[in-house]
Amino acid sequence: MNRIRQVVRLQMPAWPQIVGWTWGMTAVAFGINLLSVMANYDPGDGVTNTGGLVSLCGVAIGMATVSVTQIFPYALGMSVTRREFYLAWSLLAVVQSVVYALVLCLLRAVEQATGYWGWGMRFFGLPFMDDANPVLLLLGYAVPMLVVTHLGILLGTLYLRWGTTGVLASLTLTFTALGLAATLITWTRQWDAIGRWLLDQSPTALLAGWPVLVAAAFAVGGYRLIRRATA
Amino acid sequence: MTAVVTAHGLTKRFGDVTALDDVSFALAEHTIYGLLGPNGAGKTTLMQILTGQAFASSGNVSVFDAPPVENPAVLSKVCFVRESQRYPHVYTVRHVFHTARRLFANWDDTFAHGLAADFQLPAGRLVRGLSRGMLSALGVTVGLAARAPLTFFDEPYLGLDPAARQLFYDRLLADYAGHPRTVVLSTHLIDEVSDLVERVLLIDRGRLVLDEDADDLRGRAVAATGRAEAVDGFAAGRTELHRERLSGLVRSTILDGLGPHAKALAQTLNVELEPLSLQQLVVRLTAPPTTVPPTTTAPADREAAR
Repeated sequence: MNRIRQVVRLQMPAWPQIVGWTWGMTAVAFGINLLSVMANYDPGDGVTNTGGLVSLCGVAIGMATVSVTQIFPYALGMSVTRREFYLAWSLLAVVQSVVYALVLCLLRAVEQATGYWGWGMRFFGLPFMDDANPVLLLLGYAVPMLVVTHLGILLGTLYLRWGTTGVLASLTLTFTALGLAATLITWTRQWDAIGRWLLDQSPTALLAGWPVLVAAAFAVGGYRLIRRATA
Repeated sequence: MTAVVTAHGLTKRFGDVTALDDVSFALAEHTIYGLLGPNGAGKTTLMQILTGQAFASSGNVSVFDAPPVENPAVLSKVCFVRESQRYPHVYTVRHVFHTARRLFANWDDTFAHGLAADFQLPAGRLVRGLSRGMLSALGVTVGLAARAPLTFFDEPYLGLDPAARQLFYDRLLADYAGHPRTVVLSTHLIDEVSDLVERVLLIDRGRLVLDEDADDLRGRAVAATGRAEAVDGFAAGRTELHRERLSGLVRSTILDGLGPHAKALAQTLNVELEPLSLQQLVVRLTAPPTTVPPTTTAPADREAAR
């Protein structure tokens, strides 16, 4: 464990950049959304949802990918094993997800206290989490962050193993598979059933339960890939 | 001898290229090795496999009595300074020292800072902003201050000026005296390290050509110069590596078997003998085949010499 902690600290010099870019870009997305809401403002509209948090997820994926591809070759050169590196980065993903989730909870509270920033713009809160208790709220932010961070790590390990071609080919295959699956569902008229299944799930399962399985699947994939990676 | 590293039948293939071909050897503890050979011979690949950074296609490798791949107990005693080591974009020289201190058990901070001062390494500079020579100085500093029981230097001083290289040799020898360890030095500057290395491993096209004490090697080959018939007479029955003509004279590189009467014979035949330096020997042993066949027996002898 002590060794893992030392490996975690390999990322420390990059923290100002990671935190700065992640939240800086989220702030820019927030500002642009606010401007666009203000430009369209009509007091009768009620609260506008923006989905702006997608930008935070996008940046988190990119940051995780860059961090893996930048630091892994150095770690290997410093006699760190691939296993130690991967465990350290998974630990970082968990810690970062919880910290980001706490920040998001705080920003959501500010959002609600300011009457949605005075212009009826919901940026940090999510409509389906309105009734969530504090624990579920935290999990509802942290687990999706964990999923996207591990997705970023997985993309990084794909790059380490097979380069840009490997990443692009994997993305192409994934989109093809998802597209074919969607077609199949449409063809067999199963969308209703899927919708009902989703509605039957408890909020906990939907926000924290199933996404944890997705994160775990990404983590297992990344671990298997990195074990044969070379610098 | 206590073996720190043993390799048996080590082979590495990249597609249809065989980078290492059935290589077997052992490295003893507390010895400085010179790992020599032309570009593309397989030196870096060999060191990557010994440090668990790359995977062998077949064969066995044991480092401190265990396979090195993904083995923290082994790797904690190993330091590999690569010429092409990549550093994270945001790292400064100071960051490298901090991380090295945490990851190498025997790291000596005072020694590292002394070396950094000697090499005039700017602690606050981003590593990606360093010149080629400074980057080499950083690698050398990490490799020395880590004091790993098994240390590999792969072309450690690309871009370093002669004074800085001498500094590296001096610091290496001085520190080695106080903290003996196994050092593998891969380099093309063979004459510079010929007094430093105790044993030589020579690889050519993926095969181990030589594994011998440096002292023995120094006396092993001579250049014999004289008239063609005289040199033929002298070279008869000996292993000839190379032959060249210089204005009516012939200069032949001869390996092994000088024997007690060789000097007298050379004098009688009026053939001049001069010892071959380690670098010249390596050049002759690894020369592309096109420059050779001077005599009919040469190819077979070359094989025998291996």
